[in-house]
Amino acid sequence: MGNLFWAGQEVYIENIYRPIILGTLIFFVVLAGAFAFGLFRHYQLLRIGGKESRFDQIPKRLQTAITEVFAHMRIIKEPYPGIMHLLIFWGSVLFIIGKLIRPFSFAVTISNPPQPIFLYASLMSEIGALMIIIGGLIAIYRRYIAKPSRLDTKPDDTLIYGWVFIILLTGFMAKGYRIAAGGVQPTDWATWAPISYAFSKLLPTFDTQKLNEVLVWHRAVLHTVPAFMFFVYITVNRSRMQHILLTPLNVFFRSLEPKGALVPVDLEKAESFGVSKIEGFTWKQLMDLDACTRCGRCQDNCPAYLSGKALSPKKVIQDLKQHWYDSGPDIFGMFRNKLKGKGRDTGLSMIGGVITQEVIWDCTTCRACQEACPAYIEHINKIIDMRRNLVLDQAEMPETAEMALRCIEERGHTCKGTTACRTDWCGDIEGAKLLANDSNVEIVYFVGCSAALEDRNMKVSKAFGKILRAANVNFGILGEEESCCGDPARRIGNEYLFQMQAMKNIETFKKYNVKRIVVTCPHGYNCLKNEYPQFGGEFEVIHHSQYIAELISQGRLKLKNSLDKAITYHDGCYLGRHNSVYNEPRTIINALPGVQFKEMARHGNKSFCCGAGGGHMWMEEKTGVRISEMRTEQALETNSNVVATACPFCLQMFEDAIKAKEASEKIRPLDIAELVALAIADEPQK
Amino acid sequence: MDTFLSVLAILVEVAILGAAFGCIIAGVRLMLFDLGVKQENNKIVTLFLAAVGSLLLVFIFCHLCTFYPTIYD
Repeated sequence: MGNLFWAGQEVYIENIYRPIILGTLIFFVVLAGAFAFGLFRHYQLLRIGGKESRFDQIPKRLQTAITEVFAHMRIIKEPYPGIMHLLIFWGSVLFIIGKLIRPFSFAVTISNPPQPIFLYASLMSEIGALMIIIGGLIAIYRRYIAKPSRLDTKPDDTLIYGWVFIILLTGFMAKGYRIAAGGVQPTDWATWAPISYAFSKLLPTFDTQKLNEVLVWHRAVLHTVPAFMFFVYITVNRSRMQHILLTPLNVFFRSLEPKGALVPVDLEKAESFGVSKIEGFTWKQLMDLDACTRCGRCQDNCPAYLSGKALSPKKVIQDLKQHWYDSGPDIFGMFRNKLKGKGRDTGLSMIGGVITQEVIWDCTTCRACQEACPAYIEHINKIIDMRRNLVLDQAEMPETAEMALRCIEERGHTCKGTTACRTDWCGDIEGAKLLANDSNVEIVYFVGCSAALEDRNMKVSKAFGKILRAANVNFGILGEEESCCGDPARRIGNEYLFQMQAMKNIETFKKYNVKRIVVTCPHGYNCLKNEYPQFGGEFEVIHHSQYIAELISQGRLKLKNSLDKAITYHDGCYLGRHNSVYNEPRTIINALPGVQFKEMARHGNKSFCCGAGGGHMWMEEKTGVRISEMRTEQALETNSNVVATACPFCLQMFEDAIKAKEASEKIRPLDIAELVALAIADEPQK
Repeated sequence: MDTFLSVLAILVEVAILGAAFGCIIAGVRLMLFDLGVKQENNKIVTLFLAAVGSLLLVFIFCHLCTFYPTIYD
């Protein structure tokens, strides 16, 4: 088999390919130098960022990075670009392994006489090349013909497609000429090099051995030089191809903190708050910018962008990246070492100049962008850092947000104008007791501002109270000792106020030796569960959907009334994407008698924000379509009677949007607790 | 037929080799700007590289016309 394959080829291998491979190995040193230079450029840029520790839990980091790289776990979630990338990636792996076998086999002198391993290497390279070409054609169709709006095409993109194609084509031609010049027929070339063999049938050769040697030599060089230059290009030039290295690195250094937790500010040590200049970001935040491949998945999932706001998460990252590159040490300064890692002044302020305030305030912190990003880029922390600077250093924020913050400062809640007090909702519910009177309870119900003080949401707390009573749960509440959890303050950017609120609540919990807390608001749940531990508040925190599911599974709740409803469920961002609670609400709905459950097209971690997160509950939506109305339309498409939620903000947004769309006859929003309360009521209600 | 096929083959070869060198030249251009050459020098850089590319193309064409193997029917 091997002899037949190599018949007539020995002279080309000995006289042509051996010198070329040896030359390539020598030039490999040059390539390594280019690679080191490319890395140094990024290192110099990353140095302008602040410190951050991301070197913990190395095995876990490696595991995810390797899984993402080789199995494309996130990329494949979108089948078209996923399969495209998978073909190109695995094609490249096969192609490069096939090619590398040859020079390395020379090094260990197994190549003369040729060994059967070359047969497999040859076939592997050909299959790899074919996969790259197919993947490339799929990519070309998408980028230049289908043209989805999320893709922008730069000269570098077009060049890469063309260049890779030329390298592969000249590779097939080089081998094809070698086959044609060998002149020995028949052979099993067709089996081990099917594409090159087909090429060989088209390629003319000379009559003499010497001329054919020159011909094959030319062809090999004309393949090797563009390939070599391509590797120099992608290592030195900061092209998108550098994602081959930068994206896996960014996945490796991803945050392993709870998804919903923002990084705290050390208020005692901080000289300024948040980030107003590019060098104010940490090196990891800057690495995020480098890792972006402009795939646009973040933009395609961003409710702000989709509803016509100024914010595009992709553009934020790209604009910051360009600003970073412009501000970073230049190539000549780098060698002169005059800048010593300091940034250059571009004369453009980051906030206002590069990223407008409108963009910064458009974000609902819904995490759809981060969940979709295959490079694990963290968009939210950058936007919050800029908000922190605006709020705490520049006292700049939307007027309505400022009023909400003032309300928290003065009254400990966000419900401006309310006359209710925090215990009004539980007036007729037996069993609800204040911890001040008796702290010996099974669980503490942290009611939250909306459920305690806002009319619509007081019905939810009442319903939940009835559920607790029906299940004979010994529960307690803080009453007037409860204060705003601080989520709105933190998401709007007032870290100082958030920490005040957090410390106040933690102190109260500790005073009553609280161990287990149930929360009906996902924002409060996220705060208490993921952010209070940053300040010493370690409690077992569960969401009411989780607790109700627990009560049902323990048989403590009897769901006896048939609801006769078609119900769809809206995953609140802070329950779903920020805390991965997707199953429990669905378990509850499916356990309700007489319910037909219908899923919206966007659900689970692809759910669409209601528009209230990130402090937007207290901000006006002046541009584009209202996000809540878009979500309501998505709920209406399911033809359900009820859109169930497990979040007071979502509930309020649906109430308003359904009224605005005059769809009250078709659908009504209800909290999970309200549905369960209907199912357990002694007197069935409609 | 031989002449026609030869001309056709040479034109295809020129296109392929021209594209190969074109990619290298375009890559060098993008690399120069990324390395810090200012955008205001765009015209002179592009003209210079275009001239180099054109010369290469002429060389490839002449070289192939002179040395391309004979094509038999």
